[in-house]
Amino acid sequence: MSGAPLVSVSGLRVRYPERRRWRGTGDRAPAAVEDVSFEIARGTTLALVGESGCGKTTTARALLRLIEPDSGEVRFDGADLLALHGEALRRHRRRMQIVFQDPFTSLNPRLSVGEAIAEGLQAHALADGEAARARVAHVLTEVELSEGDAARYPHELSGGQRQRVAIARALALDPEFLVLDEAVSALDVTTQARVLALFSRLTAMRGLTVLFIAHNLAVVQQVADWVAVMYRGRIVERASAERLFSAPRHPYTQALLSAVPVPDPAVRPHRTVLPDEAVAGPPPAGGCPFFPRCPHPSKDAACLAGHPPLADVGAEQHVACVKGL
Amino acid sequence: MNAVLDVRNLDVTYAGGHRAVHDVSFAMAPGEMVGLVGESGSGKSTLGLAVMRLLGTRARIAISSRVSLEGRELLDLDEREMCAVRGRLMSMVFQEPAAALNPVMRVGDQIAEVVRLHGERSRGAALERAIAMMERAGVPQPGRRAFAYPHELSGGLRQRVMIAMALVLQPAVIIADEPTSALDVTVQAQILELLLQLQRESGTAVLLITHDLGIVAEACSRALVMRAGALVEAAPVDQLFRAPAHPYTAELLRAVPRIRKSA
Amino acid sequence: MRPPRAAIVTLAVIVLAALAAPVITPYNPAAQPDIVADKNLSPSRAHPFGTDQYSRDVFSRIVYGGRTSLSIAGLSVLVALLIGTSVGAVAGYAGGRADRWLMRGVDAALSVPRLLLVLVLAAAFGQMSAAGLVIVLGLTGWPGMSRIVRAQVREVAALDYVLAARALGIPPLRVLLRHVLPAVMPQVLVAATLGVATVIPLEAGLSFLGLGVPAPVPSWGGILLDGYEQRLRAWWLLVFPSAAIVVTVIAVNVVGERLRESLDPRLRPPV
Repeated sequence: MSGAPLVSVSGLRVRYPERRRWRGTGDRAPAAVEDVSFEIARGTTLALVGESGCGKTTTARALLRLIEPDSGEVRFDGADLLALHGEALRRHRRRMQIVFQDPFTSLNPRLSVGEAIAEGLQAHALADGEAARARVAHVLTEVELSEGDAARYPHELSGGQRQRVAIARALALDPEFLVLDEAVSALDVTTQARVLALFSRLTAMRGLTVLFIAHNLAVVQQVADWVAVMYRGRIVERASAERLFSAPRHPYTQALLSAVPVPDPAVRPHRTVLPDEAVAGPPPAGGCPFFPRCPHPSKDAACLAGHPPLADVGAEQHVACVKGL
Repeated sequence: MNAVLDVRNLDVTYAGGHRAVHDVSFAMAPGEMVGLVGESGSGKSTLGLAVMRLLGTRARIAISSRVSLEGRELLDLDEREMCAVRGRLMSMVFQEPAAALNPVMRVGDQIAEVVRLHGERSRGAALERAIAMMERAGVPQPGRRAFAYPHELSGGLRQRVMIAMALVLQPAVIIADEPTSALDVTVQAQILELLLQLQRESGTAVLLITHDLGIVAEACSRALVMRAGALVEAAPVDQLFRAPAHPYTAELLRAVPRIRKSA
Repeated sequence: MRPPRAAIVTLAVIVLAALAAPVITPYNPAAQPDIVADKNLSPSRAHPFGTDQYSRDVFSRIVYGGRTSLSIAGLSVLVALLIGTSVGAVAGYAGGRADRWLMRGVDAALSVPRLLLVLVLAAAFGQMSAAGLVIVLGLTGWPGMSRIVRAQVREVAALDYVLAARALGIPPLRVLLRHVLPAVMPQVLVAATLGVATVIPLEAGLSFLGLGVPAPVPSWGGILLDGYEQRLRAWWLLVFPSAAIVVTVIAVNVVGERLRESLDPRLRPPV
């Protein structure tokens, strides 16, 4: 079942997202995405990890062409996605869907559950009337809701239930590719666990190819086959999940892993504390963006010589660091 | 125990009829860091606001409830007396520093305002104390940063400012409502460290409200678990994690994602 | 919440009275039963608001005048709403160049004070029919409306569920009609309601200057004009039309504000 990857991104660059859609937190410039490349093989899950402002959401949206990238290449099942327009692009959308982070704003409050799920079916002329109703019922049971929920409205549902509706809405189109943009981050921990289990089941059952965006590394470890870590718009490390968690090579990845709180009072984690971004100062022009905060910068000027490229360090691991630790 | 904060039968009902806190009782010893854990809708934030008497007319606290701070019954106080308590004897740190700080006032002035509200006459002296506290809170170049507006600071720095504001008068109790939830995980770690350090130095008792069991495991000595308004378990942290008594606690522990360090 | 309820009731009464004009008025507003004897009679039981210098019953004229004024105001706001919503929605949703150029046009139109524009247009066209008035008032009103619509559309278009609709592959026109506009309309209707309160005095002013509704058709502004001419002899010709205008405008404003209040919190997602 292998062969060409389903999704292939190369040199993706998004300078600044449309300003009117930006709701900034005030301390970071709008996320630029710079020279991002990765591939996702069919049936696998790639996690895109990073803290706020690193560009992971921007990357996902640019990939789906919900915002327009400035340059780069995006291939979906071999087709050049960036060359498509209008109707052709719209039809491609059927195959690549997204579930958003906030269950409270991602559903139109005026549409019933059934209407929201059926809308995609109608837009792509996949099913109508009775057939649509049947499809809606089927996908609702897939996400562990009941058929009767089709008549309910979002405000009657809990966060977890809404998120299931959002998933159902995406799955109704039978997509091959699913982007989960922090899809469990806004959920309670018990709900999160259940929804993650649901994802695993659905992914396996439907053979989905998934791009999983998150900032919680523990969650990522549960679902991802591959992981790419982003920092300030660039990928700094990319490896199989197993490799990344057992032998992270980039200092940022290491700091990130050490920062995750451990729910076990007996364990005293060895923490790498990074200086605050505002305190460390802006990254040097043309140098490694992580340099100001790096706990082990190189002694010579190698870190300032240029953006470290994502280099292959073996075992299918790539690191963007001159020291290649 | 000689409790610094003693809450008995706290019962809070919102104006629409929703009973957010059901008959909750607990006590905090001086200098203790207690974690209050719960998911959304558990009533944990309401509890924090109720203890600070910040709910106003939105909610009603039952007559039978008791909240005593250093022996003094808070629910008997009128608003003016309560204002004298807030900031001085008991203060609060919120989740979203951007929302809790006044956007049009310099941060140094905001901290100084707290100092002046509780007796300090001199503006200069108040600002000095504010800057000193900012330094203790780990804000680099506090003399310069005191003149910054909140939006000019990063999330981590804003939270440090909020903590400085809460601690400047060395209150006996601090209620921290999800103080790190809005922060990146690398910054989160720093802020927790800071809270722990300052708390040890000044002997302030801290009620750390959070949904993150990892934070509780790391920072707290005791934990309270809330669910749907009721307190379902209260235990020392070691015991809670090792042998949870209530099934809900066990469910929470099972649901928390953990990183497995594979070989 | 007493004032809003009083306002709603008042407005309802005024509207119903205007609709039921033929039924509730004791006299035909143009009737002049006795030109000599009934001239300028002060308010009495036979004529609760008195008679004017042409011996016509003022009460009947005011009720019919309400019909005129309210329908002109309502229709002109409708015109402004239709044009303004179309322009504002396109500008707000499409963004980019379309937005820039459309809004430049709107800004140009808004740079002239509306009253001035209305006066100039009315004077230029001379005596207009009611339809003409509706058009003039509507055309001077749509730019302001389009600004409001555009702002609302931009805000709603940034919401996740609109993005979700786009991601599903819903065609843009459908997204606009099904997801964006329904969320925008409540606030726009509030603006329209308040727009009515602005137009009523405008139309009355025009009629007062003789530029509005032509003479025999009763309108509040027209009666005010008579009142001004007869001001030393018949105070009732000034007082009652003024009261009618003031009461109606206040009632509409209060109702509009109340509408806005009741809509606002519902538009926010639950915490």
